[in-house]
Amino acid sequence: MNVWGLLTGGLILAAAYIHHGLGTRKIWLPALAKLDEAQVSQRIKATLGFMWHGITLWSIVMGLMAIYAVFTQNSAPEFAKAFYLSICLLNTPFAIVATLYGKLVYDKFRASPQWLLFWPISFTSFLAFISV
Amino acid sequence: MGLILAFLLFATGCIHHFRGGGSIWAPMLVQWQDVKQKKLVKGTLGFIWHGVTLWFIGMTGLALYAYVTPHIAQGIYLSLAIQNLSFAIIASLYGKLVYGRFLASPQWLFFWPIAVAAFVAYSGAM
Repeated sequence: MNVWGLLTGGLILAAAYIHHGLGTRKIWLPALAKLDEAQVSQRIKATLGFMWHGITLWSIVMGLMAIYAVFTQNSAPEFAKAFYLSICLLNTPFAIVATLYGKLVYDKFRASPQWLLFWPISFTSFLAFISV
Repeated sequence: MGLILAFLLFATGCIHHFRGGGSIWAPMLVQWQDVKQKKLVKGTLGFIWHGVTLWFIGMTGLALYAYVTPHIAQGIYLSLAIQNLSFAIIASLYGKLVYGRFLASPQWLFFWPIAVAAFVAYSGAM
């Protein structure tokens, strides 16, 4: 069994839970209240809203893909490799931007602390990829 | 189909960054300056916005990589189809359910073609 793959799946599902549970309460709902206050257009609110909730579903899907890859690694190793590579390469952009954005724009690494979630996911998915 | 998928992904990344940046993100930042907002909130939404640009570039690279490495292509195309499908579903539903208009979040116009192209590329790579 690919332990790194299982860990990747667990981390991604945990990140989805944190994003949806904690993030929505602490970030999205206060943001939405301020967006209403600033009377921004429906299109802006809907775009940011769909991105926010889309990330929840995207994370759930990625987590399930990682877990699926763990259990099909022996019968379909190419799929497992592709899934881990894809998860690694598509989480790394978010890890890089999250690390730089808060520091460069707001001078605080903790202004966008989500790199704390994205880097471990990128790292473990890379380890899962090379251990297939 | 793999090349068409890569083109769609790259074009969507450009549209997100340039057109979306000009008509959605920049106006929002301007309007937001009038209200007090926590750095955590602004930093999070900002990193998501710019992260999505880089995410599209990453997906374009993956689609091109799949095109030149047939033995792993199927898995990559399937992965791209599933991941984009999740955004296509939310974009289609969110604008309609929350704001009563499908065009409130019109990005499903990009995500559905990408998801379908990725699935067709997956089927073709079998």
